[in-house]
Amino acid sequence: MSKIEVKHLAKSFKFAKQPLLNEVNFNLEENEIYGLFGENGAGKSTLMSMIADYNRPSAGQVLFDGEEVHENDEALSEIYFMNQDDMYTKKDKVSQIFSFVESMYQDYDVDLQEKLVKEFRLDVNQKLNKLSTGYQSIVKIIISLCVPCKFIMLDEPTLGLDARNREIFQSNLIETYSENPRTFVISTHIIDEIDRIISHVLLLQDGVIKMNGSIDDVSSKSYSISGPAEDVNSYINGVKVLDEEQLGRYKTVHFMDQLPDREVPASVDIEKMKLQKLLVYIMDRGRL
Amino acid sequence: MKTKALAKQYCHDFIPYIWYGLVVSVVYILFGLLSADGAPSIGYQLKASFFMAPYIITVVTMIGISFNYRRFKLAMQSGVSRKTFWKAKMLFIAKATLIVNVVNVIISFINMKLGPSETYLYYQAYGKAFSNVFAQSISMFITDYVVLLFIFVAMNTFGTMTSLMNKIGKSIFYSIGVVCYMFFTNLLTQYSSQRLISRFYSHINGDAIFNFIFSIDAKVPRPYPLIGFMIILTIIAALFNLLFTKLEQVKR
Repeated sequence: MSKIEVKHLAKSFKFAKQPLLNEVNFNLEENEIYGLFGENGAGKSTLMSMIADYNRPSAGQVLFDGEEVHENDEALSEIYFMNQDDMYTKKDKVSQIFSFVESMYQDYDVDLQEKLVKEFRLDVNQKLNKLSTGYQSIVKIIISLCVPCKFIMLDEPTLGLDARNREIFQSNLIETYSENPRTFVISTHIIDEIDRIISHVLLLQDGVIKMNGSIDDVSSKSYSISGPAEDVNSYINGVKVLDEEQLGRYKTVHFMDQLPDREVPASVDIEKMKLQKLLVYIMDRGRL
Repeated sequence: MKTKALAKQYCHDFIPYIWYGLVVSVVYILFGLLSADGAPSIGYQLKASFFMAPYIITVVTMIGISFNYRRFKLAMQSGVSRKTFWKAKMLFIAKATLIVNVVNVIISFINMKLGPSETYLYYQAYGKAFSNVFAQSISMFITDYVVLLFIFVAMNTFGTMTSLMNKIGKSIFYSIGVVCYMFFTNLLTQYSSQRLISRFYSHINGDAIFNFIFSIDAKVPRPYPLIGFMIILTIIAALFNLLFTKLEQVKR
């Protein structure tokens, strides 16, 4: 099983007051779907660009199966980074770009590409620079899902996509993952849409990985309790609450702890705290 | 596989520059004809302007060759190392040089039909190298190819070096270049500078070096030393290109 190891990775920019990334350590295992989260400017895109060897870190190393990724053709051919920059020739037609990518990757999935082109209703005879922002993202998404790489990193894949196309992306991501398992790392701010897809959570904050765990572990001890205010209050009496919302008599509280050892009132609903809520809390408070 | 595929894509992206070169050449020739005030005949004016076409095409394609950053981004997106990207670039430059050289040679042959072949530098230097026309043409093609190859590799190396800089860095670099150019051209107009250069040239036996490279004083000048010298310069330029390529990063 292949693995990417990120070890003591750091990145500083000239004239910046403090480093962007400082002692980032984590592993990417094969055949998992990771969600990479963090505030704006946290360094998610920079982190992914260093894993793909687009940029050099100030310190640390990225290893693929124990070997440095830097200047390693074998490792780099197994890593694909879909980023927000314009990397392909803008004056080329979409069909020409697809032909070029097919010539670069021996096992490029042409059948899946054709299927996705139909579903997204993409006009492949258009030049890339004539497409809307959303459709330029769609071209990148199609290529990302069709390349035969073991590790695929998607930086804001749904940027500019309407609801219909986001749904197509998510369903095809799950389908292609089921048929051909490989590792996806998805960086997005639309957490609610991908929390049902991902299996692992990575939270980047203050230059380090603040959270690194399976989604089951992360959500196992975080709950949202809703119901009439007096019933909720009586049930969670003594529990340290992270956040609460009240609308009239109806109250919702969020906490990270074991459930209280008392009878649950019939009017109270208990569910796992939504990942977005949890991450926003952690980003706000800066602690687990 | 990836090296060849990348080089093919770069060639595909480069072809429009040859068309731009042809268009600029045609515009130059037309302006040449329009500016003829009647004293020299239109035919003479056409011959006088036409021989510049290969040089114009070379200058325009030089510009196309120098763009490095977008080729680098394409390579990075395709999952190749910087060394593989450099190999693809060198392969692309070798192919592009061949295409441009073929275009230039065709135009040169057309021009030689219109007027004397002595307008071309090659014929001025090596017109008597071979008695056989076919051998002479092959020799001209190979000599033009290696000279053009060096120019293209040097231009791409220059483009690679400048792509390492940000906008401010490039502005400073080009400003320094303009100032240096103005300074040195002014310096060369001064007698004291000319005497100094002349003394240095004599000291290093410059005549002997040039005569050897261009085989000027040979009984039958042949382009072999020039071809060898250009190949050496091309290898040096290519190594500098590799050095700069390894330093490249994708900018945000």
